[in-house]
Amino acid sequence: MSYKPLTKEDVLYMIDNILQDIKEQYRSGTVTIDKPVVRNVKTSIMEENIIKFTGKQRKINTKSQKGLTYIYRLVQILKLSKELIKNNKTLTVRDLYYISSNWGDKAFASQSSARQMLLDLEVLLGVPHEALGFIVEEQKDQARLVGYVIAKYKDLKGREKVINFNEHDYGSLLPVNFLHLDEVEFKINADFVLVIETSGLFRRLYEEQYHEKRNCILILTGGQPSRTVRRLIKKFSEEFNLPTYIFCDADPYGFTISMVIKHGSFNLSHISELLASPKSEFIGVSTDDIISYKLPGEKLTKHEINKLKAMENDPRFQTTFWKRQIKEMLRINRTAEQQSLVKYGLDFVVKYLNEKI
Amino acid sequence: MKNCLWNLSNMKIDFHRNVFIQFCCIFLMMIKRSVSIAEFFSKNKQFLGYVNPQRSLFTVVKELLDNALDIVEESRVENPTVKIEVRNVKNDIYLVKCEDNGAGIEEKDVPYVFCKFLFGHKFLEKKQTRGQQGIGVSSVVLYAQQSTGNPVRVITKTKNSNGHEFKLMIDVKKNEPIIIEKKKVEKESTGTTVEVLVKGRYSERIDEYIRRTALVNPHVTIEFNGKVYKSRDKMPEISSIPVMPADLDYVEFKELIKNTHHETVRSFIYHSFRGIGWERATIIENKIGKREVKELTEEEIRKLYLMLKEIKLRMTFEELEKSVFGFGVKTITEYLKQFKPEKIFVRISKPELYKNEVYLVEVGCGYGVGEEINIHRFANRMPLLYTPGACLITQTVNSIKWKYYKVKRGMILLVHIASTHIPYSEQSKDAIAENEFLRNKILQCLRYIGREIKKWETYKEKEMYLKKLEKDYKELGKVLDEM
Repeated sequence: MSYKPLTKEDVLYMIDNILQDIKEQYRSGTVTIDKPVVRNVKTSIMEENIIKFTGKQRKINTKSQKGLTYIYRLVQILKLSKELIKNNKTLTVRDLYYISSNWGDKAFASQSSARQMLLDLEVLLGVPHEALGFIVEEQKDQARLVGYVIAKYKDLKGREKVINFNEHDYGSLLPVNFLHLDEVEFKINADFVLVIETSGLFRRLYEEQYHEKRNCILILTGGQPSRTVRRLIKKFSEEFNLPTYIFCDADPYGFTISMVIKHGSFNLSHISELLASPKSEFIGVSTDDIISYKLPGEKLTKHEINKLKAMENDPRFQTTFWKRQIKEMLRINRTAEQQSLVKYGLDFVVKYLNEKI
Repeated sequence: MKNCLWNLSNMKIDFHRNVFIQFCCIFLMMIKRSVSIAEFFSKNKQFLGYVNPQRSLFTVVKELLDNALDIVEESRVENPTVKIEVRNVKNDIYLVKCEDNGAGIEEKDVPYVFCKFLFGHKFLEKKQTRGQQGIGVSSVVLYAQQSTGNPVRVITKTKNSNGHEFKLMIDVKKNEPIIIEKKKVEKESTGTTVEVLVKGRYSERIDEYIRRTALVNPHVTIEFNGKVYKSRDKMPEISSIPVMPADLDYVEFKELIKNTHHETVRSFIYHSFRGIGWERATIIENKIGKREVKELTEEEIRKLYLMLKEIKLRMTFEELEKSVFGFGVKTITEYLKQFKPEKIFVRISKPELYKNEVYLVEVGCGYGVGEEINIHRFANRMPLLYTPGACLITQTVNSIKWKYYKVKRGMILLVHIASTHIPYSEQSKDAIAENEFLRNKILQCLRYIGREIKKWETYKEKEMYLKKLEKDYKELGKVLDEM
């Protein structure tokens, strides 16, 4: 599905359409809707360098308890969504989970099932759920941005707000209601974007004033990047045509983060076109670096070994480069963090990066 | 000595072994004086069921009732009726009176039927009856004369003679009857009345026994202390099954040869035993040698006996069906209905031959009664009320994992074994002995019923599922309307 910027009225119109359709079907005795299949390795394919959902659907109807519960929840969420859009309010997934306890035995069993439902809605309606009024939770490790970026947007009360990401030390947090990035105006002056996984290295690079010296934007993802961060990276990468470089730990987790930013994740493969930045590049830390720089690290845990073995079959890691990285890592049985580059001195990171970029 | 041997020869090989072994032990202990079977039983009444006052009175009623029912069924009279009365005369002495309208007993047989152990053992005939060896009613007489010193009073009339009244006792040492009084009496219809005075204690088990017997034998009118259980159906005719050489003792076999009027070996075999054809008899004769039967040597007789023992009885399905009479689906359902179950399941196995005897197993389940499994045991159309723990039926039922069949509520299980030979574990006929074949047959029926219960439970779950679905659909409608 391709993304079209939709206004509030459009979204409301779509919701009303669906509800009307369900109402008519109800009178006939059974309600049937198309439920998208679970998005995972088997139901997604790599197309144009992006993991995309094949769009496979399954019909469910009210003849089974499962189907009826699903449709009931769907109708309730759409109802909620209408209210949110009209009143310009937001709900997190956790709020939705608590509200659902009003629905008796059709309440959500857990927060993750509520989240799954919202993702299904995204496929049905073709909009990210932020457009429906549901936002993601704030992360524990918050995302930060530093660099010459000035953003103008309207806050909850409709007032215009401006953030200068160069103003404060260590940059500023990305605001939670950085929802519809299309409604945010960016003014940027940078040569490239550097996406960093750990806050330790982000701090290191800020103190070395890397963003000033090289005139770049530093984005801290804080672990797995959230939807907002991924959308932002894509915006910089494609709309502003800035080369993007991804800098993560040398462990399976870090590798996955890099590829998620570049190609997209399976969970959100239905909106990968909104979130993936295929033009971005992975620059470190790779297994080759561990070997050549003799970086200190730890042995692979069982969990990490399993993850590496699963990555061998992952469509995002099918280049010769990645195959070698995975193989070597299994051989040397070691991982290394970004911060281990400090071994060679406080400013060694800068030299390391300058070599790569 | 002679008496002993003759008594022994009348026992089947698979006679209750514990009795036989006990007898041998006592025999060896009193090697100087021969002990009659009557004397043996008089010293070991517990084998026959006279364990305590309640059980003794119960056994008396049971034996008389069983005999009456056997006679009445065999006589095939128009309206079979059995009247029983149990009356407390004084303290712990009871009068038990049992009257039936069967064919009556021949005047010359009466003393032996009632006062001789092992008389009436059916020699060349195997049939489904309640009584087995001719011990039951004699034990009643023995117990009566030993507990109160009173004789048994018998009034009987057959079709072609007048009525007679007897007062009899047993000569325990000789196992022979003592006729105290005998006279002719006026009696209108054929039948027998038996009256004994015994010591005991009344228990509700007697009521229960008669009530259950009446429910599962609907072809007989039973009257107990004034309460009448009227008959409704007619009983089909049961045929006996042929005796095979394997059923006979070696000594019995020799006796058979001694008494036969057939000359050649093969004609002896062919005519004495049904189930062995002319060709087969010829083959056996060729192996022995074409001789006259009465001229066979001891060794040749033994050889012949062993060869004949291996032949298995074969019967057609129709013959099998006619040889055992079970309860049937209707009777079992009526029986279980009194407990008001949720659902009734019945499974009747096909009659089967095993070791030359016919067996039929019927299981009925009244599901949804109480919280535990209540087993009602029956053997040859009469209830088993004592020693459930030692009974094969109880053990088999408890060996099943009922949880696997989704059994959530209690149930009444009726298990009935009908056969030409029930393997009782004791002479008192209260429990069934361990028997692999029967165990498997019972398990088969129980498992079938288990599967039916499982189907029923899943059906109920589905019903509730559909109702809930309807309710939820209406709720969805409400939500849609609110917008």
